[in-house]
Amino acid sequence: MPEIKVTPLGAGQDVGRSCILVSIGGKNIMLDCGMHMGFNDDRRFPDFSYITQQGRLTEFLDCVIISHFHLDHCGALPYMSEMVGYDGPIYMTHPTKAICPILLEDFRKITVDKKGETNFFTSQMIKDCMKKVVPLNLHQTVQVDDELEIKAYYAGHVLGAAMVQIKVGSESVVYTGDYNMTPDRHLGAAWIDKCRPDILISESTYATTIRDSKRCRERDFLKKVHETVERGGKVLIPVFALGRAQELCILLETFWERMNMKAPIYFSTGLTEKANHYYKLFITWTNQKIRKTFVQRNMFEFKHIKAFDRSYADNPGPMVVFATPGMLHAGQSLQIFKKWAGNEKNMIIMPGYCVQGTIGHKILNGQKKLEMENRQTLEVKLQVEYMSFSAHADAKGIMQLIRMAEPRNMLLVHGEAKKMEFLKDKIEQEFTINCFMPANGETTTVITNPSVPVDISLNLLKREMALGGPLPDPKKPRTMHGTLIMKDNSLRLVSPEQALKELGLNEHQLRFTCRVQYRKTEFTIFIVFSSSYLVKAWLVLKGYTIQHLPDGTVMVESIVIKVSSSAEEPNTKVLLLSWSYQDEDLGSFLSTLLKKGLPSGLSSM
Amino acid sequence: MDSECLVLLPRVCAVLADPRQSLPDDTSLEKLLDWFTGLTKEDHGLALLESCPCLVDYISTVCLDKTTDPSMLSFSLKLSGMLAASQHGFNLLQDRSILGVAYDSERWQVAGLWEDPSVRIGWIHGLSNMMRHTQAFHFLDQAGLTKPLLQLQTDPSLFVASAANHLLARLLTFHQPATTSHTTQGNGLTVPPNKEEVELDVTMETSPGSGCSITMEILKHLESSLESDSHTQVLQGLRLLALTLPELEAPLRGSVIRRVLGPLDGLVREGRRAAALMAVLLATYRSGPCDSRLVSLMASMLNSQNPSDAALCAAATLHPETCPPGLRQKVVAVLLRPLQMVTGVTLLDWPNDRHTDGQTDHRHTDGQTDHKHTDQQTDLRHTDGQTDHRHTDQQTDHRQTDEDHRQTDEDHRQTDEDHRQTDTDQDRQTECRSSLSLLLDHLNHKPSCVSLLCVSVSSAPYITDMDSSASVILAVVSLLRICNGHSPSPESKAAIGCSKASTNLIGCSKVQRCCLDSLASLSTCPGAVERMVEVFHVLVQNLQNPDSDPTVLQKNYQAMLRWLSVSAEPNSLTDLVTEDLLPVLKKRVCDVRWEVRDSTLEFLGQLCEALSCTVTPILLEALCDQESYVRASAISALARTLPLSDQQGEPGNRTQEQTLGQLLDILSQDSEGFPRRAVVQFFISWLKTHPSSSSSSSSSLCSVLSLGSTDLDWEVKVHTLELVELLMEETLPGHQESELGSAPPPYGGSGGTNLLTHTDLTHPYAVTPSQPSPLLTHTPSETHTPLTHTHPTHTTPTHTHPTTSVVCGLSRLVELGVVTALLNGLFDCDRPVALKACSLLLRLRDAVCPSRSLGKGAMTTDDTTVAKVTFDLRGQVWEREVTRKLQEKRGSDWVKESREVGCDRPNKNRDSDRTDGAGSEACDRSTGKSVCEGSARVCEVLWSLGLEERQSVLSQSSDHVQNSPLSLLEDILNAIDTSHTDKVIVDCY
Repeated sequence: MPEIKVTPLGAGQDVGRSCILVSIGGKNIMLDCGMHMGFNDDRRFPDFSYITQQGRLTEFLDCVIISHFHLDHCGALPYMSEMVGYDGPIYMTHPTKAICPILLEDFRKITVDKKGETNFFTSQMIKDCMKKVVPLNLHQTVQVDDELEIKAYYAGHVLGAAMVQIKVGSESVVYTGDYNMTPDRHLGAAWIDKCRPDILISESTYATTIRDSKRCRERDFLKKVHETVERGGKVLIPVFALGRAQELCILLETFWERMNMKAPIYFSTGLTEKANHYYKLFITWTNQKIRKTFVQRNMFEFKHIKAFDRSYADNPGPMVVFATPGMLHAGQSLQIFKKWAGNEKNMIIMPGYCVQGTIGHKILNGQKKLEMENRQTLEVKLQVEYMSFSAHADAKGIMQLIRMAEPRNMLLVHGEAKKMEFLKDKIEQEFTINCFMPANGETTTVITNPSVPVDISLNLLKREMALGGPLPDPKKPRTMHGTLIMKDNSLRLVSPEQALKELGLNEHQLRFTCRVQYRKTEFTIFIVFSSSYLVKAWLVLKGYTIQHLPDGTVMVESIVIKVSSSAEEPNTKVLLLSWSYQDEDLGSFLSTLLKKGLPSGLSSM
Repeated sequence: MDSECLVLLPRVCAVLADPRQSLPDDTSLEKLLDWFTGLTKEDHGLALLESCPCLVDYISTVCLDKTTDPSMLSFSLKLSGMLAASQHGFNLLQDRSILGVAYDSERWQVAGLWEDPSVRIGWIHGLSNMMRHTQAFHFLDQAGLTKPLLQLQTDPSLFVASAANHLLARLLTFHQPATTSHTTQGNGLTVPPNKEEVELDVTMETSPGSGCSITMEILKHLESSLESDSHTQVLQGLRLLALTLPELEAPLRGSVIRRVLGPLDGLVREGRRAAALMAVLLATYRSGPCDSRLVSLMASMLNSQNPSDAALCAAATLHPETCPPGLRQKVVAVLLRPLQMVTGVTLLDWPNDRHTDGQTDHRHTDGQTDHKHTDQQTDLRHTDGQTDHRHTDQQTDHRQTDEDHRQTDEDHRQTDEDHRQTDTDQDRQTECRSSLSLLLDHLNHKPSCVSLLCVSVSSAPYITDMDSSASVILAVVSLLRICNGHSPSPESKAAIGCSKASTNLIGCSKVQRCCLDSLASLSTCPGAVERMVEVFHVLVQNLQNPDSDPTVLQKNYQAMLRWLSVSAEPNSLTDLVTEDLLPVLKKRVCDVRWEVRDSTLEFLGQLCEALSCTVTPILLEALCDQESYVRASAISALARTLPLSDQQGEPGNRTQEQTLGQLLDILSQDSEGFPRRAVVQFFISWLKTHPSSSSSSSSSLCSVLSLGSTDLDWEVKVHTLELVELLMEETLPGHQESELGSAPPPYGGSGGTNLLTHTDLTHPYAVTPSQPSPLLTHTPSETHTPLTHTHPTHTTPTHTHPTTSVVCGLSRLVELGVVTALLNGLFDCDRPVALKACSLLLRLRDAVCPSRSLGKGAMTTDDTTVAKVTFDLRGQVWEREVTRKLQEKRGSDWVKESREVGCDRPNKNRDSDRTDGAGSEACDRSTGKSVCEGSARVCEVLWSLGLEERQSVLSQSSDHVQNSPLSLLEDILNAIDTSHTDKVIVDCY
């Protein structure tokens, strides 16, 4: 029986680096190739030695698909392609291909900041890796080879994020990557058609959460920023180069406009311009509202948000600054934080998760005294807020997607085990489908229905229609009768006559016969005849034509019923029944009826 | 362990042992374990156990609690194993009865924790950590842990199964019986069976508790695994064998081989799991004296009915140092046959080669083991080599004993052999036909055709010799032509029947990539030069094909460069380049795909360098490309052509000025970092070929330094500092020798030393020391810039007075904006930038500025003149910071000087002592400020910045404080303290 195997090397019962291996129809596909920012050594990358020895990834993998540009989904890609040596095709959407190098460069910088790190990719490697990428368009089926095809669907989450359908023959898998089922300020909601995949591999970050509406989170955010600015404080928002920073910028820009606010908003490292460029370039990937109003006013041309110069940090008065990196581990965001941390009027808003070993992690844990270099201590007096703006589907959204795609099996990744367990039960109850949640390194195997394509002759279809059958409909399976010809690696269903003609064969008849013997008594004779009449009556009722032959034989279709006397035993009557293979159903039914329909005590042979 | 950690650890242990607490970060426990691993490295945890008894309490608490969190239990198991690695730790844990409870797998199964793979992994890693002494080995034996471990070998988790296999391999090699002398034949193969092996088996069977029972149990399991119907079990058995055999020594090795030979033979006959099987056979062969039967099995694998399997096995066997000599020809035949069939190029002398193969193998086998059967016979019959061996021996004995009828027997035997030979020939022909037909089927099926050819072509460079290399190159070239849609040569008989294969290959980029990689490697093989023109033509053909995949084109360029580099006379290709290559390159520079444009520009730069030709107009056009990577590549290519354009006097000064202007525009305006980085690197190359003293150079360099040092991209800033470094070496040449080279950085910062060494190697304009320096003994090929390009006006006049030269040099650096650029770097928030700037400032200070420690009296007039050089710091971001530092420095200097001369000395006297000082000090007196009219003395600023201290801080990792063990412990405690507040959601980075 054909089967699909799914093995997470990362993101199995955790929210670390996503890297999922799928084997389908003899093809091996890697879904995402992420890194874990919590480690400084080889543990940050997936261990590819489990896939194949001696790093022969190109021979093993048919393709790699990247769902979106976040580092936990694409961060190990240059390592894999340029250092381990994968040389095959890599697929991602156009925006992901454009933005990926920026984030990889951003991360490379962080790595250079951390001394003593080895085994890390260079700028040239990032470029060479990107040159291997084949861009995907939404809803466009791409043939990886003769058998394997992939198709991307809109996923929301971040610009360019996509869900992918992978299909080999009649077997298919959908991988969601990270997705969002509710539209936000710049992106739309994820969508997929009713593709009925064998497995739907879904992220489950917010598996147990019914997220408060994004509007509420936005209101909170604006309120907090407003209050701080009003009291003359400064607001620092550490962000990664591209992604949620743009969403927050739109939010603040609109608010500033509406409230006629005067405090400056700055965006560090010159990324505003770059981000604008990509958001303009990929306007079709944003939400409907932005697309519609694009001609009148580009949402990404910010009137109030200006480029930040490091000298501005010392300026008096309120201001809002977006600065990189997002976890406060080095660079500009850390430098500004050090300057502003001592003033309780100021505020820092962390819009994303921070790994252990960063200042971001420490202040989110509530540490008020931070040890800095040279044994200096930094007192954290400013207000610390955590406000996750990452767009993931919540439990409701995941259920909604299942309803959309109607998968035969469900597999959860990118979530915490306990939360997954809860959602798994819910899915299995509501949809009565299997739901799996393999841990990293564990393989889930799903048996699929074998599907063998068969061509049907036109004559056979016409004959079926002539008999009153419905017109062929690909969505409504039905039974067809005919002769199956297996020739030249193909299967065809044709009428028996055509088959005989094509193959130059003579027809042979196969008949089944049955003999029922009764003792010759009046009562028996009565019974026999009444039985015959009963059978006849039943046949007439069912619309069969009964033919009476001159010798007393009765024929129905190919069935022959004859009553005769036994030469050896004169006291018995024999009922002979014969039918051809085509009328096997009817023949065996009549035989049973004649045998069992008679009162007990009558013997049958 | 420092005292602060020592204080915190008991609290952390208490928190971790509390089942109500949960850790928010999944990496904390692993990092904690890393820390403990580091601590226990030297003394196996003795000190750790003594100083932190809380660890044992913690392990005890966690392991006794059945409701503990799986990740915590896993951590505790790993930790306990680590502590039990020493006998002292082991005894301590045993005394507390911890190990028995912790490693009782049934207990965890009952508690429902065993289901979690992290617990199983922890269990294996714990045992693995522990296995450093015999007591641990006996513990494993007595506690009956081998059984669950063997079960874990086929665990559904890849990680668990792999870890279990590694531990099993370790157990097998842990308790090896003493090595005995091994009977080895002259050919390196051993003679089975071995008496010692049999004795060893008996000992292992009959010696319970000696450690042998574990070995025996594992071996029996291994045997049954290899005979199992379960695919996973067989595969894991093979993996274990491949892991173990290279580590085993005789007689255990022989015993293991003897046990598994039968099952392996069975697997070979089944013809499945080829790759894993071959890995075992090769591991065995490579790891030492080898049983001849294994070589027979390898030969059988190469004769596999499945051509793909055979090819994979052949490719694995190919390694020249470890391929059994008798198999080499077979391996080559298996690998090259598909290539020959598809291309029609004769690579093997077959179908006769089949016969030759047989003969060769036959001879080899004869020579090595006295076997009389050929490989083909072995393959066809699938018989055990040993049986055949005995059979042949019997024949030989018979021949030897029957002396009287020798002649008659000879005749009979001759007749028998003739008959046998005829049968064998017929068998061989039948087999050959069937094998050919199978191969043809594979080649006509697209996926198997592609995979077979990829293996074949990728192996080709490793099987060429003097005679065959030309044919192999021709075959690869032909295959590339087929991929481009050309049919194979019509006269070739071998390609008949492969027409479908040829169709399958049209436009197949996977095969093209393999071919191009292979072709690049083949460029260095003997006789390659003769095929140069054909290779070049097919490579140009690839470029002309508009449908060529970008990855194919990139590999095409790489191959082209390799072939150009081995060409004896690159100039002989000039016509080919100008007539065929350049026109198509011009097209490719305008390709719609940026990947192609970029690869083409990268290639153009390298081509110009290799063939000394310039293509400046094409490159200049590409500066306006919409893709930043392409713009950057165009700039880099321009930099590569710099020496050539100078040599050839083109494109003329005017164009050059325009180019410089265009590049400066890119540096100031381009929104992307890559082109800006390339611009600064261009100027680095430019400075190596042009004097900085010319007016155009000066203004351009000023602009680059000013723009580059305030750029938003950290790498632009680092490259700008590299440019600064070059300028410093050029402007202060004498001091590079005397000062820069002599004084190591005071804090041992590697940055400064490395930078200097690096620069000396790459910068050809550094002034040559009076004594020949070992640094300058490098060959011209080590640097991209020819040494012949020295500019006459650029050499430093040797008669110039050193101090005058220093003063002029420093003033010139100030003029160019070097000091400002360095200070921009020093106060940058990006650590690599700040570190580089700090190192350079230190070098500048040590090379130029008179030391304050010498004291005023020791300072010469010249020193004072140098100290007078000032620079403008108005409007700089760091103005306030520098001013503050200067004031602090002056304050402390004054105190110091006051102490030296006596505290009662009036201020007036101090001032009067300084009247011989610089104008700025006069200014100081009037204004009371460290900076006068926005300018400050360079040396004074450099001495005031505390550069050594800064360098030592910057040399450390940016996260060294947050990633310290103390910080980790604090984070764990804090996470628990704040667990009641809003939980931070782990979502994405």
